[in-house]
Amino acid sequence: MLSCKEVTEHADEYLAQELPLSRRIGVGLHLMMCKHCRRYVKQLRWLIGAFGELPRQASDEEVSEVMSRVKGRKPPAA
Amino acid sequence: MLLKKTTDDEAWLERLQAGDEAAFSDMVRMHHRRMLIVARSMVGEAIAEEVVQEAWVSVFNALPRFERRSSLKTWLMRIVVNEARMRLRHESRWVHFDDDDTGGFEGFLNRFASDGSWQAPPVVWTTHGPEGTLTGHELADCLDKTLDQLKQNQRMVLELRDVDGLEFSEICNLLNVSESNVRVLLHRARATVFTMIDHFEGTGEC
Ligand SMILES: [Zn+2]
Repeated sequence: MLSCKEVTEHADEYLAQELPLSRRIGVGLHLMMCKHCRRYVKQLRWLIGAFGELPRQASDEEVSEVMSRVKGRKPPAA
Repeated sequence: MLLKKTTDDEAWLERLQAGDEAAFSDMVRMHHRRMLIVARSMVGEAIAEEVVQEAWVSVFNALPRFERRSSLKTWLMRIVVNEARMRLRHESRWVHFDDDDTGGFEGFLNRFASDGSWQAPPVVWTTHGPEGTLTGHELADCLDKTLDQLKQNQRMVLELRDVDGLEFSEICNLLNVSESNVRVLLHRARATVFTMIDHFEGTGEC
């Protein structure tokens, strides 16, 4: 029987469906019986999804700084 | 409004590779911040900006030769990593993948009793709705702050995998480290962020 700590160690791969079958069954059985780990896995799944939604767009200033840098280096037309 | 799928848009890529300035601006807007984060993890705050600017010049020059064997995102990350490496050669520094260096992860481990059961189980998270949207929420600010506090190598792996969506194989290739190293770092990064968000949900303090 896996401990809660071991379940959290496998949780990332469990969510990614990358665990070997026997381990996957072990984690699944533990989750059926342990609401704390169920909660952990559920929240971890949400968190991983949230990372992908983080706004990462550059500002207009940043974009124009890059554009002028790039254009400044443009090789002369052949 | 820029959508993520813009990067996969065939017509957009055509314009980009043909030297269309607007398409280049789109690309900068979408990827500049991510590239900065990766550069910071490798070379530090002080010269990260310069490294990324140089990377954009390399991107501009190499763009006609981009063969689309990898995603544009991966290709850009490779260029910024290479640019950072060239700096590091001069400064003899490199990302450390030190296994003992857990950096904030202890907080997560301390949630367990010696028999491996939870002694401080996760609290119920209430500040996010079932639709799980982050926008305009103070949770988003807390998440940002938490990410900033991660150890740099954990941060980098989390950014590349969870924020950028790169494959493990691509990350290993990019950073020249083993997949097990990447997985350990990713687990620690996620668990550390989890601990801090769980604290935020429990106390309202980030
Ligand atoms: Zn458990």
